[in-house]
Amino acid sequence: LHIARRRDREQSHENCAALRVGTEQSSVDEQALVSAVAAADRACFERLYSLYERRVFQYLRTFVRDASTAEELVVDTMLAVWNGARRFTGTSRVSTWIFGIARHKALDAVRRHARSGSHVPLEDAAETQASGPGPEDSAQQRSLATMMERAFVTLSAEHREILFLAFYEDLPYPEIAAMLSLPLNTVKTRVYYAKLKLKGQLERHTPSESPQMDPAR
Amino acid sequence: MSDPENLAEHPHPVALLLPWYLSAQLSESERREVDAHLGGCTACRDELAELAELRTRTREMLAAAPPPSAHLRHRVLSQIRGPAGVADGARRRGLMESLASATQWLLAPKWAPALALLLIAGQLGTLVWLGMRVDTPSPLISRAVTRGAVRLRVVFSPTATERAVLSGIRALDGRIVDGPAADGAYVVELAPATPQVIAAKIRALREQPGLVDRIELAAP
Repeated sequence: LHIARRRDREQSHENCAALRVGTEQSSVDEQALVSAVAAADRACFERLYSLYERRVFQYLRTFVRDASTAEELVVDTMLAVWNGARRFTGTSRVSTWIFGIARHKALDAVRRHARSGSHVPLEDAAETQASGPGPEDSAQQRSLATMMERAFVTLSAEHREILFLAFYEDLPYPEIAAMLSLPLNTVKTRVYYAKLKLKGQLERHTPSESPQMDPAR
Repeated sequence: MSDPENLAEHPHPVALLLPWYLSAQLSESERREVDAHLGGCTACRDELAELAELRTRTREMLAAAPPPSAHLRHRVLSQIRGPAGVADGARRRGLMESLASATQWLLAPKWAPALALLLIAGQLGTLVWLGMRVDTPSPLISRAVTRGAVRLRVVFSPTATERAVLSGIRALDGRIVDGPAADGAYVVELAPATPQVIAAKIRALREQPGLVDRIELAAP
């Protein structure tokens, strides 16, 4: 048994060393990284952290717009990854597993804030923040990215989340369904309606002199 | 969420797969189904183009979003203490594995006779210790004196039964508050009453055959 454990550990270290020199990441490589993290390989954890820090942070900001709260949740999430790597079964993508952990942390935080009677629930903070263009904003100063951001933050947390997972993380819909505990069709329709809302908000936030999306679509 | 969660009104349900068609996340059969549909459906081709544009803009927007602060990485990694490969989690696992190994070693068959002997010796030691414990009750039990009470010094007959003694004390409406002394005397305290009543009680006690050898008033 000890020999087998040692062999597994050495294999994990070799995988991590190989990943450290690689540039392209694949889900297979990430699974090897998680195996190494399960064997308490700190270097592999740092590698995994580098791959996910920004992505997890952006994902958490679909729930909480406050950056420092999102950072707190990144800490919680990545420590849970470190401590729970042994429980990763490999039946899903590593990204689905990590975002699932982050999701639980975010929802817990939202519930805690709701119980504490905060005036601005975390999931609604985005709507409050993006309550409309400020008077000092001129149409000329707005870039397409800014308009997109304004449109995005006015979506509901559910719509922001599903667009992040489908458009940015490219997760397959069955994995999104498993992660969000939703039926497959609900995932498909939620993406569809999120896209419609985003399109509507984008048109609303786009000044007339800027290029618009084809309203006929 | 206020959105309907089904799309019965959508004329082309296959359009719902378009986001994953764009990201190449469909199964082969699904991809062929979408390909076949797109070939003959202008509306879904437009939908695909619109999706592609929104997806690209969403990705650009998220990629350009501000990153977390620079010290976040240090915050996380500083909580993963220990040298590379041996951090908190590993140490915890290492401790648990060591405990498991020690338990397995201790419970090996070669140690069974020694453990059994140790267990028997422990039990014997406990029994001996319990046997050596001698409860030495105090010969005198002193209690507080009730205001107005009368105390009698009573020497019961050595042949009197315990039941008879208790019955006699109950008849006196009293309680033993002291004794037995060296001569076998108990101090019985009677509830406050008139001298006549007390005298009657003493008389009744004396009249019980073989119960009392001597009764006298005790100092308060």
